[in-house]
Amino acid sequence: MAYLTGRTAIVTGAAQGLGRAFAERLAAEGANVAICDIREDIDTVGKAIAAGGAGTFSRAFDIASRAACEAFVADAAGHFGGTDILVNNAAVWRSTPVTDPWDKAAADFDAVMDVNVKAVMMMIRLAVPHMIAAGRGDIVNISTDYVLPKRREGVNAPDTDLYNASKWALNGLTDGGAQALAPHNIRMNALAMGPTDTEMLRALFKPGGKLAHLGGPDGPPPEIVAGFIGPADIAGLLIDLIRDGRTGENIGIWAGQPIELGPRKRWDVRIRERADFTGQPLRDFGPPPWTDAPAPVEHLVIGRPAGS
Amino acid sequence: MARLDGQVALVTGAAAGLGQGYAEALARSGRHVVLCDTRPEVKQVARDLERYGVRALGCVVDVSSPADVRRVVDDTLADFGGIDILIANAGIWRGGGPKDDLDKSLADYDALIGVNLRGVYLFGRAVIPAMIAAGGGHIINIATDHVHTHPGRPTAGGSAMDLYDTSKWGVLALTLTWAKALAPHNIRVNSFSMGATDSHMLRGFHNNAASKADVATWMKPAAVCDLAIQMIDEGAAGRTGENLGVWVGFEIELKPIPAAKPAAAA
Repeated sequence: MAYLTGRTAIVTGAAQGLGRAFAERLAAEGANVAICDIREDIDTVGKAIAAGGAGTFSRAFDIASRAACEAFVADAAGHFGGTDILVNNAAVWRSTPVTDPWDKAAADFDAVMDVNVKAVMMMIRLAVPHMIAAGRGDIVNISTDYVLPKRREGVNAPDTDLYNASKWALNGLTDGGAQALAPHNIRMNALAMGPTDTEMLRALFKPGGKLAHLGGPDGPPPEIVAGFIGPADIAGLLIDLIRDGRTGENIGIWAGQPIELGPRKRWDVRIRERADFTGQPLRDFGPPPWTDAPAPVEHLVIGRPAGS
Repeated sequence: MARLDGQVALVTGAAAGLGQGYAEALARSGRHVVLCDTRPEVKQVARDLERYGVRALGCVVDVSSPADVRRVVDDTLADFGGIDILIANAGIWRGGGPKDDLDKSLADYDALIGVNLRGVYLFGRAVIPAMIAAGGGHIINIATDHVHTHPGRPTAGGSAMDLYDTSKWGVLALTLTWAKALAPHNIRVNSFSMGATDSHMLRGFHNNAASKADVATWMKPAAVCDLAIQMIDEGAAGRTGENLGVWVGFEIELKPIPAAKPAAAA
């Protein structure tokens, strides 16, 4: 029996790129998948995954719509009898230079935050009751390597302040949410990665895009694409993370560099070691919620550094 | 109108607590100040600052409203001739977490993201063009020690304020991004990651019933506000992109100012 047989996973933004790779891999591991996207062809993706034998449920809607999110989570959970995995992948990117005219600047805020932060919050709030009822859950928020202190000063692009803010903001949901949900055997982590081969990234290399000077009408040339991290690799890492047991982590993924998951630790031990502990009392998070997870893949290397 | 002598500073959330402290420290150091707050008493707070011999104006402003922000910035530019310093201090706190129902969470989101993140974003975006035109400026955004913690403390304000932390992580991103984007324009952008400071927000957090013993452990606004003046007075060659940890019981570590600043863009 496959590892995730009988479990149900929701993946947002699954019509293409990373989201589709997540859905395909979760289905391959035996999970039912409930997928959504603003693109109407999400149903085509659903049919393709269903052809492989997995239970699928697909719907096209705007993830920023409260009513649509409520209906989707309720219907998906009703269809499959619950939900225990949520992958918050849907996101928008837009160029927001600080010199933009005022009207654009004012309108951009909600356009970015509604999808990249508010929708993530809504999906978490809607899925958590089902996970608590099931006695287990995994939430994975898709972030960016900007948010990791290791590189924070180098990679925050200067002309995407709102996109940057939206991804940094996810730290709050992941950090606080993981603590609140640990006693319910629900884990929340973020995958924070560098350039991954997605439609969002390829569009930057097309005419009018920020990196158009490096690309052409069809987007980036093959030698640049070869340096991207592959969505399927990230999807494999997602499965490792679900199998693994840690929570409250931002997993950094840089092309061509080892992914350092480090030893698996109880939440309280992780806090102790992460922050040069000096003696404050620790919160009691109860017994570790993970008991039977197999060891993860460590030090995986995917993609290769740009320019090599 | 012609440029006034002396710099012009705009402080949000200035009717009480830290914001009032920043405004007073700026006035005491000879800056004209525009104080913004949702509370009308900000007008009296401003009048009291004129004893320092500067112009001080109190404005009732909802920092989450683009129309309000545009209006006060335009009025300030017209009336005072420029804005050299912005201290985006206005902030609110609400508890919550992933087990809340959606009605509560969306109300919390609108309030917390609206004031703490959209407010900082809008004020920054409104003043940046004027600072670029004037050839420089200084922005200080107020974050929280939940995003930059003292040694021994994990990030996050615990398990019951994920949306508050969400808003403040976003503020940190704005600081880092703007510092980079604006360095060629001699505009410096820094954050303070504040620990517990005696303020309207913290007193509200304690239901306005904090014990004297509790209050005695909090930082006092005046000390923190002097730090802001110190950073502003570093001038164009000073620090930028810093997120200073201002923690109860810890020394404030200021990294050395880089010896040479990268050449300004032509």
